[in-house]
Amino acid sequence: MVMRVHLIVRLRSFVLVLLLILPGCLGESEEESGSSDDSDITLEVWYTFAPETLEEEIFLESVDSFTDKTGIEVKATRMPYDDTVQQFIIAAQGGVAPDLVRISSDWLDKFGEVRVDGAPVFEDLRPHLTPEQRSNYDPISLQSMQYEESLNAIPASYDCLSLIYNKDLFDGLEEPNENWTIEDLKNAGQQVGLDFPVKNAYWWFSFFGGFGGEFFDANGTPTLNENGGAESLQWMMDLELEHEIIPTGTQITTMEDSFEAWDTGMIIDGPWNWVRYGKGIENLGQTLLPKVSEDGERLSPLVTYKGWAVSKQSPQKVAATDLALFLSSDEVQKEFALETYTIPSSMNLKNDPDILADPVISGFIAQADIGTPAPTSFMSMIYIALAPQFENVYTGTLNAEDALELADEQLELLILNADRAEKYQLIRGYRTAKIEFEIGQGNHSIYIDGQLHSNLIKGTTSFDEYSGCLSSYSNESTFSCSITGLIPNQEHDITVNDSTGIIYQETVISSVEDILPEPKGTSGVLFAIGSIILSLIALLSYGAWKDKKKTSSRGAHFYIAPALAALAVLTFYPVFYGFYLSLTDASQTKLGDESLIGLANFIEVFTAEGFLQVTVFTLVWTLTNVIAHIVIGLFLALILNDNRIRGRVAYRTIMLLPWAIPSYISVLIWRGVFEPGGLLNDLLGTDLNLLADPTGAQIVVILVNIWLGVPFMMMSLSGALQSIPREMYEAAEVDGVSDWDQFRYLTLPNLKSALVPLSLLGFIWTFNMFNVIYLMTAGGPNLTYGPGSTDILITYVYDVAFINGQYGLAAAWSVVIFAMLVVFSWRYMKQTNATEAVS
Amino acid sequence: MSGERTMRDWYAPLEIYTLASWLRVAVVVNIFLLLFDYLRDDGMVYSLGGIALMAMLVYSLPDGSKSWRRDVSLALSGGIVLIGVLSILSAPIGFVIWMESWLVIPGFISLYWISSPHVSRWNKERMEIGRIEKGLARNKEHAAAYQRIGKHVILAHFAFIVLLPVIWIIDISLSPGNALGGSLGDSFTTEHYSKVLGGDQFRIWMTNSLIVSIGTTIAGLALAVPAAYAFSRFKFSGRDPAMFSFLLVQMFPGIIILVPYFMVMKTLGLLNSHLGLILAYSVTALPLCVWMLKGFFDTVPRELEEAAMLDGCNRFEIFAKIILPLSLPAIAVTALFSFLAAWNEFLLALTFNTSNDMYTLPVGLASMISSSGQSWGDFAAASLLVSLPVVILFIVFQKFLIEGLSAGGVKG
Repeated sequence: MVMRVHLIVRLRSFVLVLLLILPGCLGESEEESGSSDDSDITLEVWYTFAPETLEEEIFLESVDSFTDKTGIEVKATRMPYDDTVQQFIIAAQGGVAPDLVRISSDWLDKFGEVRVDGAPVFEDLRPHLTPEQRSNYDPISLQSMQYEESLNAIPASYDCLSLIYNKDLFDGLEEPNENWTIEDLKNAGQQVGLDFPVKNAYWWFSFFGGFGGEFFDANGTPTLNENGGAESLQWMMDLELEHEIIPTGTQITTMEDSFEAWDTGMIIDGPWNWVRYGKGIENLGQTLLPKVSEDGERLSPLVTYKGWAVSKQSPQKVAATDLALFLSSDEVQKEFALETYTIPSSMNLKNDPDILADPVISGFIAQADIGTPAPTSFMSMIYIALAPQFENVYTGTLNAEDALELADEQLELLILNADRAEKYQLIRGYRTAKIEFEIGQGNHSIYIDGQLHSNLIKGTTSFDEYSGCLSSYSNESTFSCSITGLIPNQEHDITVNDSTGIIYQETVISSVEDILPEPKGTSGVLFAIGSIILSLIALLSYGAWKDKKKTSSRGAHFYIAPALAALAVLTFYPVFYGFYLSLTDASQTKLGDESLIGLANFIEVFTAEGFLQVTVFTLVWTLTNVIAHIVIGLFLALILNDNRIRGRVAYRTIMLLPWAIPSYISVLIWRGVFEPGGLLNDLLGTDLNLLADPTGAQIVVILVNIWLGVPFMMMSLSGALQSIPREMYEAAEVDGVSDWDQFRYLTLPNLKSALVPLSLLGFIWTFNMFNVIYLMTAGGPNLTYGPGSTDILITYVYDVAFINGQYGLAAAWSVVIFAMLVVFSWRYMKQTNATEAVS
Repeated sequence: MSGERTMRDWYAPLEIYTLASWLRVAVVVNIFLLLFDYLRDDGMVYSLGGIALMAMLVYSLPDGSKSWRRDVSLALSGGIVLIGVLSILSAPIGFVIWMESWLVIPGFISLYWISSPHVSRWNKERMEIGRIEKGLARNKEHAAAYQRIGKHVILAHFAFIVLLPVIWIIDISLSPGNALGGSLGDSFTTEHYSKVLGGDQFRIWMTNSLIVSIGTTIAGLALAVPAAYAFSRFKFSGRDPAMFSFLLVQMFPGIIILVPYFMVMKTLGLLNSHLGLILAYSVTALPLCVWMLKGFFDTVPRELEEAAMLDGCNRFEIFAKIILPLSLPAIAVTALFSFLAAWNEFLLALTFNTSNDMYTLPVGLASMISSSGQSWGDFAAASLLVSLPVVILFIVFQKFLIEGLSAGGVKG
C-alpha cells in the first residue's frame, strides 16, 4: 500500500515535469526556426502616431508601398507615445526589441546611456549611410539625432511651438504679426484671450530662449538661472497668476479645447493640432512668436526632431535602414508636410514649390528656423530638475530666482551623479571598405554601383572612418578613404571620377558581418526554471514521503502541486533575480555586465535622506487604507446583508463600480476632480489646488485609494457573511441578544477566517500599491529633488529604477520592502493562526 | 409587580430611541463635514454651532419623567434648523444646501417627533401598564421600518460618493470636445463613443480581453480550489511554508522584476500569446483565491464530510457535492476577483504583448489616447465601455452570492 502511494506520487511528479518543461522546449525551438530562416524578411516597426489620424494613415500607406517595392514584409505596431521609451528599453533588455522605432530627439538621452549586454540599444547609423544620403537631411536635424558622436536615427520631421490665432476673433483689432513684442501679446491677450500651460517647461523654453537664456555655459555648468531665466519665468507665470489673462489651471487639453471652442483667440501650440483646429475655425492664422522688446530677441521655441531608429539587436539592419530611409524620403516627408503640417527635414524640400506655396507649413518652417534645437544630452534631466521648481513658483513657495537657483543645483547634481556608460566601439569594417587612389584633377566624386557616394572637395580636412569619405587631404598624392553603405558579402563596383573622367575603378566586397550583442541568454533562465521545478518536485516528494504514514493527508501534496508549480515557474526566478541584483552594481548602463558589490546598496538605502520619511508615509498610507477598507467594507456588507432592504442588488452593483472601472482610469478621473478646474472646485465654489499642497495631496491620495478599495472588501465580506448560517441569528434573536452583541460574539468570530487573509493581503497590496499614487501625483508634490511628499516605498523605488536607472539600488530597496512585509506577515499569521487547518 | 415598574422605567417611544441613534450619526457626519468648511474657508461658525446644539440635544432628549427636557429639546431642535437655514442663506450653492441638510433635516425630525402626541403624552403623564404594552407593541412594529430608513439614507450617501465621479465621466463622455468638464446641460453628442467603437480594433481588443479574463478565471480557480482544499483539510509537512510562499511573491515589488519576468515569458515562449497572460494573471490572483477559499472551506463543518465518507462517497464526490455548493459565494467572489484582475491589468499586458492584435482593452485604449495629451471625452467613453461588461457580469454573479446560500440550511 505504502509502496503504491509512493509510486503514484512519483508518476504524478513525472507527468508534472513533462507538462512544465514541454512549453519551454517548444518556445525555444520556435525561436530558432524564426531566426534561421532569412529567405523572406519581416521587419517589426513600432510607431507612435495616434490611431485613425491622417498621420497613421499616411504612415501605413508608406509602409505598404515599401513592401510592394522591396518585398520586405513590415509588421507595424502602435505604441502609446508616453510608454515608448520604457517599453523599448524593456524589450531590448529582454532581447526582443523591434527592428525600427519612431523616436523623438528629446528622448535620446534616456536611451543614450543604456547598455544591454554591453551594447547600446540603437545602431549607430553612420556606416549605413553614404555622405550623399546624409547630405539630403538638414544638418541640424542630423545633429539632433546624434547622441555624442553616434547617429541614432534618421530624421523624418521636426516641430516646435508657434503663435496660432483665430482671425475671426480679432474683430477690428490688430492681428498678431511678426513685429509684435511680448507686451503686444499681453495686451491682445487681455482682449481676445491667450492660453497655454504655464507650468509646462516645454512652453517656458520659448521664453527662456527669447530672454537670452542658455541651458549650459561653455563649461557645461547649468545656467537656467542666468541671462534672464528668472525674469522670463516670472513674466510667463504672471500671465496666469498676476494678470489672469490665462485661465487658472490651464493645461494642454484645456488650451486645445478652449481654442477649438472659440473661447480664446490666441494659443501657443505646435503644427500637430492644425488639422483639428481647422475643422471648426475657418480663418486660422499663424505667425512667429513675438519679440521680447522692439529691438530685442525673438522668443525661441524648443525644436524637437522625430526620426526612425534601428535597434542594435535587429538581425536585419540593412533592410531596417532601408525602411528608415524610405520613411524619411522626400516623397513620404512631402506627403506628411502637406497633409499634416509636420516640417520636413529634407534639404530638397526646403525649396519645393508646393511646400513654399503652402502658407501654413512655410510659416511653421520659419518659426522653427529661429527655434532652439533640443539638446540631446541631459534633456530629460532638465525636465526633472525644473518640474518641482515650477510647482514652487506657481504656488508662491519660492520666487523665480530662488527656484531656478535650486533647479540649477539639482541639475548639476543629477548630471554629476548620472551613470555614464562605457563608449561602445563600432564594428570595424561593417558596411564599410577602404579604398586608396591617386589624386587627380579638380573635384572628385565617388560612385558605388553607379550611385553617387560622396563628393570630395579639395581643401577641407575633416575625416571620420565611419562616416565615409567627406573630404580629401590637399597635400598628398594618394588618398585613402572609407566607403560606407555597403551591403556585406556583396560585390560593389566603386568608381572615382575627377574632372577628367574615371581615375579609379575597383570591385569591393565588405565581408565583415554584423555582430549582434551576445545575450546572456535564455539558457540561463531555462536552467534556473529547471532547477526550481526540480527542487519543487524534490520538496513535494519528500513531503509526501514523510507523510506517507498519515492516511489523513494522503495526496495533499498533489493537490497543491499545480498551483505551486505555476507560481514557482513564473515568479520565483524573477524574485531570485531581484535578490541577486540587489547585491550588484547593475544599472541601465551595464545590465548584463554587473559585478557583485556586497551590501553597499543596502547601506545606501538605510542612509538615504528620504528613507525615514518615505517609510513613515508608507506605513500611514497602508494602515489608514486597510483599516478604512475593512471598517467601511464591513459596515456596508452588514447593511446590505439585511434582505429586507429594497434595491439591494442595485446598491451592490453601484458600490461595485469603483472596482469594475479599471483603476488607472478612475484614478485619472479623480485627479481631474481635484485639479483646479475640476469637479471639487465646481461643487465647493472654491479655487483650491489640493494636489499641489503636500498635506492636501497626502489626504487626497489616501481618500482616493479608500474609494477604490472598499468595494472589494465589501464584496468579499458579503460572501463571508452569507455563509454564516441564519439559524444562529434566529437563535440569538430569541435569546434577546442585542444587535451589537450579535455582531460582537456571532458575526465577528465567524468572519475571522475571511478577515484574516483579507486584511493581510490588503496590507501587502496597499503597501505595494503603485498605480494610484503614481498616476495621481507621481509621488509629488516635490518641493526638492528626491522623494516627494506622497511617495511611498514602491513609487520611490520606481523612480530609482527607471528614472535614475540604478537597478541594483532599486533592487536593494525592493528587498528591504520584501523583508518588512515578510516579517509583518509571518508574525500576523502566527498571531492569528491563519494557517491552521480544520482539525 | 417589579416587571411593571421596570417596564415603566424602561419604556420609551420608538421615536426617542431612533432619535438618540440618528442624532449621534448626524453629529459624526457634521464633524466630518467640517473638513469642507475648512476647505471653503467659510461657514465654520455655523457648523460648529450646529454640532454643539446637536450634541446637547442628544443628552437632553426627553426621558419620560422630567418635562423640562421636552422644552429644551424642542428649543435646541429649532436652533439647529435655524442655524442650518442661516448657513444656506449665507452661501446658497448646491453643495452647501446638501451639507446643511445634515443639520436641517435632523432638526426637523426631532422637532416633529418630540412634539408628536405619542412622545408628549409619554413625557407628561404617568402611563398605565396597558398603554405601555401597546406602546411596546408599536415600537416593535415600527422598529424595523425606521431602521431600514436609516440604512437607506446611509446607502444613498455611499452610493452618491461612488457615483459622483461616475456621473461626471458619463457627462464628459457625452459632451462635445475633450475638456475635463462636462456640458451635458447644453449639448449632447455620441461622437466619443462612435470614435472609440469605430475602429475594428476595439472588437479585437475586446475579444482578447474576454479570452484572457475568462481564461484567467478558469485557470485561477482550477489551480486555487484544490490547493485551498488541501490547505483547509489536510495537515501535511511543509504546509505553512507552502501557504506562506503564495504570499511571498506578492511582497516583492512587481515593477522592479519586470525584466526578469519578461525573460521567463520569453524563455517559455509565452510572449504575444493569450496563454502567457492567462498564466501570469492566474498566478497574480492565486494568493487571494487560495487564502480566501481556504478560509471558506474552513467554515464547512468536517462532520458533513465524515458522514458522506461513511455513505461511501470518495474525496472527489465529497468535494463536488458538499464543499463546492456550500462555498459558492466564496467561489463567486474569487472568480470575480480573478476576472477583474485580468480585465483591468495594464502593465504586464503592455510588456508581454508587442502587437496591436494581441493588445487587451486597457492597453489598446491607452495606445489610442495617450499620444497627444489627454482627450478626456474619448477617455471617458472608453472607460465606460470597458466597465460595462464587468457590471453586467457582476449582476449575473450576484445570483450566486445570494442564492448560493440556499444550501446554508444544512450547516451548523
